[in-house]
Amino acid sequence: MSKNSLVRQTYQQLLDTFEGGQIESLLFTSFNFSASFFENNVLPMAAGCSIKDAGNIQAAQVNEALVKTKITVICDRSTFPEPKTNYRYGLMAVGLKDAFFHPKIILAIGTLKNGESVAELVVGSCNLTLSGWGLNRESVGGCKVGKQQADHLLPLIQWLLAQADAQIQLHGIQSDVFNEEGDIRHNLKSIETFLTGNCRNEIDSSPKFILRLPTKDATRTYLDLLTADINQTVSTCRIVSPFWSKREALEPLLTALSEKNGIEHFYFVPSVGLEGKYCFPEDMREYLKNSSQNSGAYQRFKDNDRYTHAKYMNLFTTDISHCFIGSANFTNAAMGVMSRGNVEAMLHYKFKGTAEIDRDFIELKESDMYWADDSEIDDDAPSVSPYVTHAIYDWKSTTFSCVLECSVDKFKEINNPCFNGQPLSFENQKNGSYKAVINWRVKHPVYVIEIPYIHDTKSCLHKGLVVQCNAEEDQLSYSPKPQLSKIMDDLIALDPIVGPNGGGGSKSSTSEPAEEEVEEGRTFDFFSIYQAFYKQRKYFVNHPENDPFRSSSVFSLSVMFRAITLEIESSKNNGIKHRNEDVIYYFILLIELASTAKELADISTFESGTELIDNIKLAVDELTPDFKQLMTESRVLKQFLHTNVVNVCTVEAILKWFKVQVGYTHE
Amino acid sequence: MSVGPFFSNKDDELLRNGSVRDCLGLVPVWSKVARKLEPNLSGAIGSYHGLQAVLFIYYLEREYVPETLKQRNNFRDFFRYMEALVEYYLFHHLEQKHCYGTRLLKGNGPEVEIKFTSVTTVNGLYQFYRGTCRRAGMLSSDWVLDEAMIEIGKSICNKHSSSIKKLIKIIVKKVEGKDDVIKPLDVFCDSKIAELFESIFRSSKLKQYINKSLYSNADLKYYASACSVVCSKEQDNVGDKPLNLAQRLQNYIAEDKKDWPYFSELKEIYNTEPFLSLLDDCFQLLHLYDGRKLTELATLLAIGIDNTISEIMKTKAQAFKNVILGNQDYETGRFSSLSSLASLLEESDIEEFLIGLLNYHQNIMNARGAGSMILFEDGKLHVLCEVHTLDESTLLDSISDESPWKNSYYINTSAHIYNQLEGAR
Repeated sequence: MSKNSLVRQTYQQLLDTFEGGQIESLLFTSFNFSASFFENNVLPMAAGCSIKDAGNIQAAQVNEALVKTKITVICDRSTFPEPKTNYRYGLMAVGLKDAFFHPKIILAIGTLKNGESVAELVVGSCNLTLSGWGLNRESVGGCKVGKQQADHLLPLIQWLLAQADAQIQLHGIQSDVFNEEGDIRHNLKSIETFLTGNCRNEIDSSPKFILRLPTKDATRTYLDLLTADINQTVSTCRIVSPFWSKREALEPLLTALSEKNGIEHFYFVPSVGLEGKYCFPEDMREYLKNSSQNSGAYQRFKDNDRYTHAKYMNLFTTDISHCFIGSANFTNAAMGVMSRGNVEAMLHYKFKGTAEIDRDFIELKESDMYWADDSEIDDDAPSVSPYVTHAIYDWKSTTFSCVLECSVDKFKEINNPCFNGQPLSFENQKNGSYKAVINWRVKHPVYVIEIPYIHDTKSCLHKGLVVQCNAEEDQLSYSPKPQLSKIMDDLIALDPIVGPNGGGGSKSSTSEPAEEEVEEGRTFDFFSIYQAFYKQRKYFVNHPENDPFRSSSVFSLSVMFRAITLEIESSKNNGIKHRNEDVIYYFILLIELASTAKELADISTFESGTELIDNIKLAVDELTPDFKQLMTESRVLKQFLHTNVVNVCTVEAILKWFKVQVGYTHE
Repeated sequence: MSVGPFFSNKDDELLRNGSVRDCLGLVPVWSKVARKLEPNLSGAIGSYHGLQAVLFIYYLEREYVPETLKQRNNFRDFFRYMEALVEYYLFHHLEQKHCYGTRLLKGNGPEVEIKFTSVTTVNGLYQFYRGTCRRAGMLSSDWVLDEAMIEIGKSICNKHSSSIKKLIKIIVKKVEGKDDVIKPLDVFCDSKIAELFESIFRSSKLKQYINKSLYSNADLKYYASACSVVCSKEQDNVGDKPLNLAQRLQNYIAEDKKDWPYFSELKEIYNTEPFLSLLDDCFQLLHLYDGRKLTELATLLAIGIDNTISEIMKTKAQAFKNVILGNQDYETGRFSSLSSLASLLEESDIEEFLIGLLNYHQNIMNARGAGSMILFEDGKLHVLCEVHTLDESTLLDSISDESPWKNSYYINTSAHIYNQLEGAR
């Protein structure tokens, strides 16, 4: 039994399993998806960054660290997932007719330090959102993937592959010339191959993984499937769920469960909504009042400090406690017949005696509970858009293509659809859908298409994702220009002993805009420069576990060098001549960076930064003639030396002295 | 790996965020509108003595400071010591108000020691007053002193050259000794050094020079004088509704100087402020709705106070759009984003406006390399970074107020500095 209490810890544990080895693929599935949460917290951790450092790592660093790990996120399209940004992963939204894609799993496949190929799985009720990972009470579990788990994962992977293929075929494009962002199909195929070829042994210690994928079987419910292994009489059943179907759907499920396992007593643990009211259908409350299961029928968590989004079912036999955790609410769409309904994923644990998870419940009296009306209960189901869009942008042919599915009436309500400001003209297709294709060159990836429509005289907007395909990395902005000013600000704000104080969630920066946010131009604030480098050195000295030369490290010297050179190149490319201040600024900055690199290379246990130091020296050499010229012309230097002419020898001597003083060269 | 099952706890590490100033990036917006009437002063300026101090320090740098003190960050250190001495001198010798911040002087007697690594450090002169000197042309863009100022500096300082040398020597010793503490009382024990400071801060020539530099345009000088009058007068009302500062200025100048050529610039201020205030009010309301649905807030605003709130919001948006429509001065990305937000209100779509406001805030924060203070997930709002917010009824009152006033547009600063330089009108 794990002592974990955070979703993040479990995820970190999954990542740590592969430490010293390599994660080849990561698959995340979720109902809702918050790109900003995922990109600021989950991805940096996958890149080897602690959550403490996550706020300070740059997108380019995360992307570089994830070159060898294919990451795919799948969510339900009806939730209008937040579009991704310039991070290296693939995002695909899928949909089901009258049901939801609801499983919340993390699957990692790869190689351990000892060379063993393994797959690890986390299953829970937590969506890829801040609420799911940081605010709600969720149920979570995880295990190594053996034959049982792989056999249940494979249909899901194959279904997702089919969905991915279908989305491409809609556009009439040959799938082999289509390279979608994040290599989604390739990643899914790799996972399928891995599960088929590697996970062939049963692992006794792992919980069973039980998938719900709609099939043709109209005779069996998911609840039957989950409890199929329980052959003993069950004394008590506890069900924790934030959402419940009404009596018409639940009564048959409960009756069947009760009859099969002889359940004597049910405990229902409904969630408390925003107004402090318990959410449980009124007709079920009436049913329970009048049924034989009314005694002590309700429970709550002792600690009532947060919203419960956990889905959990617990069946007690005489000596075994069966625990089911995962995505399935106690609703007909989740627990009902397999021929329709949601895609769900659950884990089944068996414990001798009572599981730790079963402590901390308090019995409630129905009469003492404050109930929400059925009309107030949020059923977790997003309002369904009358439109479905499948949109791609092909960077090679600079073509945007969108297939739109909607009724004829709804099509008439559409008002001036456009992509990136360009009007779209949808044409009816044989299968009843509509299609628009335009040739349009974009500068940056556009990840969302908006379809405005008028409904009951009100202006509405449908938003759909746009898949980027056949794009180069620079077109997807995977290596955005690191901002020198941001790096310097973060360094100045750094406590080098404690380390970054950022945290994830929302990238923090103690730097604040200058008054009026008007740039004062280059100021000779060398105090800040030296303070920044001092802190950078002290940080790496105090945190020897971090490699100062690795570009994915927070406060990496390589990233800093890239930021400086890009800034210099940018002004060159724009035909802007460096001002005297700029020459001095970059010269000092590079010299100090080289000194820092040398100092850290001497004490670091990581590979030396020789290549970086050589590159910095080349950049310094390039600036040196301009810098020397400035010295020969310097009024201050002439005054200082009491001369009208500063000759080359003097300049060389001063520069030599300066370089020794700052540790750039040694005497 | 074998984990769980378990019920998850809250994860505060995911929520952490730093404090944020001007989280809607409105300062550059009102500043751009206000700079047409107050081209020089920084909003943080409280005393013209700070301007004298900056000019004095740069004069010393030019004429007296040895080259060693100009190297690397030594000049910044020199500036720090001088700032500390100036603030101390004004407070304890001239019994004048400080120039910036109160941390140095508050609660500390004349024996205070100023340590640059502790809370007693002061740096407002460097941060704010220098910029004003530069905007007014007293310092060049490269921080070189204006010729006229050099002459004034000579006329004041030449007779104190031995005191200056002593002063510089003290500071050089401190800088070179890497001593980060200074006790001003010890410095001013030398009456000659105190006299030097007195000559600077009591110099009528220097005061006149600053006056002339700040107010080179007679019509803008008149505006500063009008600010002085209006700020000193009691609150005006129209009916039971108080007018804001820009409206009061408009009324005053319209009566006093009908041919003043800057009425349209003033109008831009009083048409901009209600919308900027509205954005701030709505953002505070979004904070108050932590954990709740955005639609709840949208509904509240849409039907609040007999549907009048949404109408007032719309009016404020229209007034702002009128300011920027076709005005080349405001063709920037920031103004364009705000114009889009105003358009959503014009279309009476409050929910979309609130979502737009959250997106706008996210863009501002992303541009600073930071993240949003409020996350919008599953239709609900989650506050990641607490800020001080007023209560809901106060915010709704503020939204209903047709002439709110939250941003300064430098009007009080203009009045204040004008009073100091010219005497109150």
